[in-house]
Amino acid sequence: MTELNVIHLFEPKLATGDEKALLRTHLVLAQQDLLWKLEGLSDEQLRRPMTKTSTNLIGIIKHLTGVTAHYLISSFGREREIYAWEEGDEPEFWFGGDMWATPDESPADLIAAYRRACEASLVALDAMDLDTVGTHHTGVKVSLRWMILNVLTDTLRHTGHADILREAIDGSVGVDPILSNTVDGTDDEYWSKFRQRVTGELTRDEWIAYCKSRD
Amino acid sequence: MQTGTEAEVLKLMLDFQRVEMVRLATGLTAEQAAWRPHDEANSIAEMISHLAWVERWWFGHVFGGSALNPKDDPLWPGFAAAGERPIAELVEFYVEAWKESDVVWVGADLEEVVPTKHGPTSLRWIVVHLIEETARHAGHADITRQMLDGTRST
Repeated sequence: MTELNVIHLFEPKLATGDEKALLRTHLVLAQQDLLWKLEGLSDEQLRRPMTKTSTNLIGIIKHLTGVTAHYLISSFGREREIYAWEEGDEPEFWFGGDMWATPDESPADLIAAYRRACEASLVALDAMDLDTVGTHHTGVKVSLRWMILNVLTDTLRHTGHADILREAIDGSVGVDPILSNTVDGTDDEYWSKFRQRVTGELTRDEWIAYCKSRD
Repeated sequence: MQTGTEAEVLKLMLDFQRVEMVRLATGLTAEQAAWRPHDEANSIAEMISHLAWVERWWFGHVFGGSALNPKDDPLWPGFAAAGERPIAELVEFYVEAWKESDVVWVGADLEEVVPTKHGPTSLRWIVVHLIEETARHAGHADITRQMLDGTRST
């Protein structure tokens, strides 16, 4: 995957540049941020079902591998890699089979497959213009422009899921590898005070006075 | 619409995520709306409040030039501004904020550039940024809501 720095978010060329360069770069950044959310965790942590519906970090990656490749490549009539879990007529695919890693599937292999899907999608994206019309799986005709935004928002929505899961697993938070603080200049004391505000131990005025005292 | 102009598709995508946020904030008790899954996470009420402030910042102040600058308020970025306000009132505040945003940007030239602390920034960048930010928070709300009452996302 092209290594982009999050600073690219604000690169003048993109901030005032053309539509396709902006969408392409933001898609790559969203994919990188999601992968960063998984860094440094053990296989068990990546596989751990975290909610009532068993949402788990590696399942998000496995799911988005198919989503990304299907929407950005197959939907426009182009050939793509078929991933092991999509092969044949495995009925479990339709019953949540792409939302978790089976014991035979290693998280590292699934992450590698996601990276391949992201790269192949960029190759397809680069070969088409934004008005190219493809078919969504519901049968609706959509432009490449719509589809990129669809995959971008889907990726971000799942990254939002990963934000909460990761925090529950080891307490790590952050938007991306560089802007990793959730609020400028925050620290444990800030969060402890903020918690007191939320639980009612601090009044509005005390909280505002505290925030101003930090400036 | 899915094959429409750039502006139409951007509006469609932004509205979809905004409406998702409202859906995720609907039908919660006061206690549920204020509940947070972890210490540093935000409640759904706080997310709604924050997103209203973000709309007012980017579209109202930065692009629209409104004198109302949410960053002047010590409660910026607006999470804590949720306070004790009922969730239905916060949702109304959010919808009002996005309607004001739409008056400012819908129909404007996406290539129009305004100064920001990051340098000159186009309306296109701002709209894409709002779509991204709203989607990421909707992801937080998805999991928060699922933990609260098992409501699943679309």
